[in-house]
Amino acid sequence: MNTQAAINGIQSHHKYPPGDLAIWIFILAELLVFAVFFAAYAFARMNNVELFNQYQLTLDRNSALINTVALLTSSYFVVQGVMRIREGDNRACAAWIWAAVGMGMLFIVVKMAEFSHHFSQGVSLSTNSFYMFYLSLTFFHFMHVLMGMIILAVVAWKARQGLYSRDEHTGVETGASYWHMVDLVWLILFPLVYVMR
Amino acid sequence: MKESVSTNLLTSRSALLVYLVLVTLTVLTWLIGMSGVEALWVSLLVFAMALFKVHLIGDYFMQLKQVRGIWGLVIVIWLSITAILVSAAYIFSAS
Repeated sequence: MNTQAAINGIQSHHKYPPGDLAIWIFILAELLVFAVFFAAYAFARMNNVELFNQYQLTLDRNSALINTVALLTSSYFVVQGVMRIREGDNRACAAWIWAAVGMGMLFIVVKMAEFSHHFSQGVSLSTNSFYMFYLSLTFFHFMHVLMGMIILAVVAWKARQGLYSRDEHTGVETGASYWHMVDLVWLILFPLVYVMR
Repeated sequence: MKESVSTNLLTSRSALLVYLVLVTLTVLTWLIGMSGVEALWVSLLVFAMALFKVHLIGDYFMQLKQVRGIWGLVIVIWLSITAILVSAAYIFSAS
């Protein structure tokens, strides 16, 4: 029925999102934590607008742009990987997912260069409240990117081994859902910390 | 056994279109940031673009557009809560 709907181009609706339901409960918990972080940043800024605006200018917006495009591109590659496995093409799926891991690696390199620059300037969590939020938020997200890359690498390896099929590819959808969550959190973090004044 | 989204209703073409919109809005956000314009409405505009981008990721890349009920609204609910809290803080700080 679903396959027929897809062939006919008919929009079919489902009760549950793609992937394992457990990952969605995990995603919900993660999103809640990030929402609290974002709100805490915004409300802390209320009492220190000048300080936040002043130190926001020390951040590298070019690096943030590169990282945002890297994550968006990786998400697009993951979507392609999911499409390929739904056609039963394990090798193409693996290739797209590895490409997404590569984009994740670009994010890590750029972010580490940013951290390195700030640390070389003597910036730390205790420098001021802006840097406390900046370092905490971005490092927390950085750890999620690393976790996502490990998950995607396992998915790509399993796909290359032919362990998924057109009918059974829950693992690919599960990894993809987690990676998209990592991406969408950054889409809020980027304007909030780097641009909004 | 749960009924999940397992069909390929998202086409390569629509995925590419969504990706291009996401990148365009990202570059626009970056340009606004680099322009040095400082105003509440500019910040709220940038934030609205971010919310729209997240909505696109949820609907198309995560394929929640095809999910009915509460699971299909997960990102919308999260976005609404985040939007209200962050916007309120920025509006209060400007007044």
